[in-house]
Amino acid sequence: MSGRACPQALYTSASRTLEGPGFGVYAHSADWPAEVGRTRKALGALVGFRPADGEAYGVLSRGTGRVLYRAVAARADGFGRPGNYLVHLLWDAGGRLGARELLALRRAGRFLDALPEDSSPTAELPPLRVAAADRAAPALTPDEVDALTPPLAGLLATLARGAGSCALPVRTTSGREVAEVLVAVLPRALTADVSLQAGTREDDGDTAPVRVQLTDSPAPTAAGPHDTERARTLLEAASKGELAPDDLADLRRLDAWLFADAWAEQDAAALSADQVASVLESSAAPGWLARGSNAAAALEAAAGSPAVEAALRAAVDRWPAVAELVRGRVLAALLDEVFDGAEGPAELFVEVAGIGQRDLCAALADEVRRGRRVARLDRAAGLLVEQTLTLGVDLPLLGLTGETWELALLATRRPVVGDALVAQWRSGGGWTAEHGVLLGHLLVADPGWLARLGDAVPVSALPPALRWAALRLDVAGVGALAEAVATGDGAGRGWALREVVFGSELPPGEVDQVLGRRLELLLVDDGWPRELAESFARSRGDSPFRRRRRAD
Amino acid sequence: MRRRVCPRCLEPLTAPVWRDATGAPTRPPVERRTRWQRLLDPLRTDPLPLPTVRDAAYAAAANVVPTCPRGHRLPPEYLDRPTVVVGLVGLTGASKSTYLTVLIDLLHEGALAPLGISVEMEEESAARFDDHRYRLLVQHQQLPLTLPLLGEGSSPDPFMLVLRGTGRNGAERTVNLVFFDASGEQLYRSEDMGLYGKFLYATDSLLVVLSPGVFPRLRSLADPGEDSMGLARHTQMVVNLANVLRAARNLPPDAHLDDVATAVVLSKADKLRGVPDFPAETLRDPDLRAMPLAHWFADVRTTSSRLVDFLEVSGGSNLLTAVLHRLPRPTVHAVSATGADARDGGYPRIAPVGVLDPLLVLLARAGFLSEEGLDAESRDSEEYGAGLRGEWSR
Repeated sequence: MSGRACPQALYTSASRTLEGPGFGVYAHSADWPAEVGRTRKALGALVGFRPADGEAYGVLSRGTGRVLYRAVAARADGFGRPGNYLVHLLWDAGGRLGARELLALRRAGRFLDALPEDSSPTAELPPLRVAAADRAAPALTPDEVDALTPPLAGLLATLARGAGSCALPVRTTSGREVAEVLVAVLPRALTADVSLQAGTREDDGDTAPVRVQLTDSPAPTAAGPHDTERARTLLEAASKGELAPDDLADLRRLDAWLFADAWAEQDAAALSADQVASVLESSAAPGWLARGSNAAAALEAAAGSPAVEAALRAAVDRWPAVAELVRGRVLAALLDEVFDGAEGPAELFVEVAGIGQRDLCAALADEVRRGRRVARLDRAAGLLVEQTLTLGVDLPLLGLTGETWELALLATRRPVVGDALVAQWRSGGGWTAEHGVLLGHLLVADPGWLARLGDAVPVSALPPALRWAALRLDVAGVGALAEAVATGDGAGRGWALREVVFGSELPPGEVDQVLGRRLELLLVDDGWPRELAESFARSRGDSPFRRRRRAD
Repeated sequence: MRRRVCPRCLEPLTAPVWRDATGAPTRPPVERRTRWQRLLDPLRTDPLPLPTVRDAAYAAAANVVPTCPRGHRLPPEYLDRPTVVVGLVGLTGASKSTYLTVLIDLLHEGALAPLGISVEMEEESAARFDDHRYRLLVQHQQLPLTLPLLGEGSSPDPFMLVLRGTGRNGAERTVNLVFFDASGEQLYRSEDMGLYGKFLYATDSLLVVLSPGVFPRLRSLADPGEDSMGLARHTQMVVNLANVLRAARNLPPDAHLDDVATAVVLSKADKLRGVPDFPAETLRDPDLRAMPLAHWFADVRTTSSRLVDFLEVSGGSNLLTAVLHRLPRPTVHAVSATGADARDGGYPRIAPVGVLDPLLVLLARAGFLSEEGLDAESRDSEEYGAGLRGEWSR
């Protein structure tokens, strides 16, 4: 026979016990725990009983173990005196046996009613093998459901409080054994820390946080409407043959099992956090999250409720549709933050959605391609752009933002952005006004862009860009740009002087400074013969100048 | 008699704490009658007016009860009377509860009336006693075994009686008589006596109950279960008891106890009638109407001596040595509480014999009755037990 070998002990009054004549421990298994007690004194209230009660039984906790017992009035003791009783005790060191096993043992008559014939006191009593009790859905009539609802609600209310005692009737008026039904209906894990006793007991050292007392006329335990609803639904489900899984260890999970489908019909605004968590744990989660603003509400609730957070994480892992949905929500919020400067999602949401850098970068590129523009290309956005390009994501830089100057600066300062811009510039077809504007900003930022972009810029587009840039540069900048034009691919067209130096509209003195620096180069660009240009320049002589940037 | 103790928790107390109906301490009720009223009342010519509703309300409001400091309710005027605490001691199956039930019933039936003593019982004790009495004396069924106590530092619930008599000067004498009946299992080991027999620390009268079946040459008379108990266990019980009595008074183990008396009850003595050498005349009831108490006590001394001789030849010399030398001021009495053995859980009849003797001796030792005739000429306290034995053994 499979099961757990439980040490056992017998206490009664006999002409001989291990403690002498009269009441005493008559027998116990060799491994009966000394801490529970091997003598009347040590066992104390565990072996107390009023024979007039007829029978008492129960299961209680002692530390990590459990004691199952049954006391029963016995025939006259070895002295022929009436009023004797027998207590049969079982010890489960692992604490896995519970009320279900207690009732099964009692039902099967495996607790002794009397000392075995020809027995004698012994400290070598073989252990009793106890198997985990079977569980079957009780067949309940509507009247029985009505009768059992209040006691079950009282017990559920006590379980919800986490500690306390609860009195239950032994039987309903129809004769149904209440404890038998309740332990079958309730999941085993939920009642793992519950002690149960029938009959009067003194303080027996029970360490279980929740104690259930079976009495003939119990004072009803206060239960709220939700406890009653739980109890009724549980009993009605049981009457249809549906039992809550035994591994449901807390009331929230029980609620999820009981009510999730009903709650999933409602929107998040009408549900409590625990109810949201229950829905998320149920199979209705994908559909519920997809409805209305439930996903957003669930995310908000997750920030304030560990239960919802855990349930949401589990749902994301379990349901691809949920993962996609949550991901989409969080990603959208992230993009709102990047593009519009909106308040972004909490880090928790991002973590729950499982969004990484690459996801965000790819989404950013997609959005840009769809025409969305970054409102403010600040430092954080710049870093994101740089990271996006570093990861190899094809992020269109033209059209990324309306802040062209910030984009030009970013492209100038961050090599990866600059390289990407050059590559896109070269590969992109067509020249638009946006190109021209950006080119102007780039030239302001660094005249070197002229060389980097080279033939990617149509010649016809260069003069307006040069003039636009020159107008915004100081003396040194104008000089540098003019030099770049004179030495670049577009040299020889006289743009260095006409578009840049003269187009800069600097005061004559400052133009003179520019001209005095590399005049021969500018003249050559303007078509002068080199010798003549050099001679002319020498005749002017060099003059110092100061770099100065002009305000636009 | 010398100390006042709460009959529940056995804590010494000097004055009661008065509590109201909710248990809260309150002032004692106003004494309604003064000695002047007592003198004046006979002079009244008009009858007292009938109490009004208002009077009844005042009376109800003043319904306070005296308690011990721990809150245990005391019987009315408990502290106004001396108390005799009687502890029953004996191993499992010795018939302690049966003896006590029959004894109390006899007291209620006026067994002490020839001595001018009436008996009352405290209310709660009476309720418990009634269960026992009905079962044993009406239904003739065996009493259930006395359950061991499981809470450390406790004592069994006592039976509390009040004896009222008239002293030599004609004044009323009253005494609280408190009986403690513990389970035999917890009267063997000294540890158990200390943990569960707290009454032994307060007792001043002992009823040591021995069943004849425990004596080696009387084994044939043993009830079921008795034969499994050797005499050694009883001897050890007596030794432990003697030690506890002395320890309770901070006395060394061999010290003399002058404030405790012992009556050894040889129970189930009806079974001894057919035993050779048994002095059958020792099993009889005193005729208190026909014989002065002093004569009766003298007779008790003689019968005690003869019973000791009988028990010694029955193999109990070692046990008797312990009783006579370790327990204070012992007398031995043959008693049959029911007059017959139980069969199938019931008695054919209840015909008690000799039940009253031990209590009479203890009441005399406690000073409630005259001790005259009880002791021999020489009563040197150090040699009391040995002296009696020598006399009995002649």
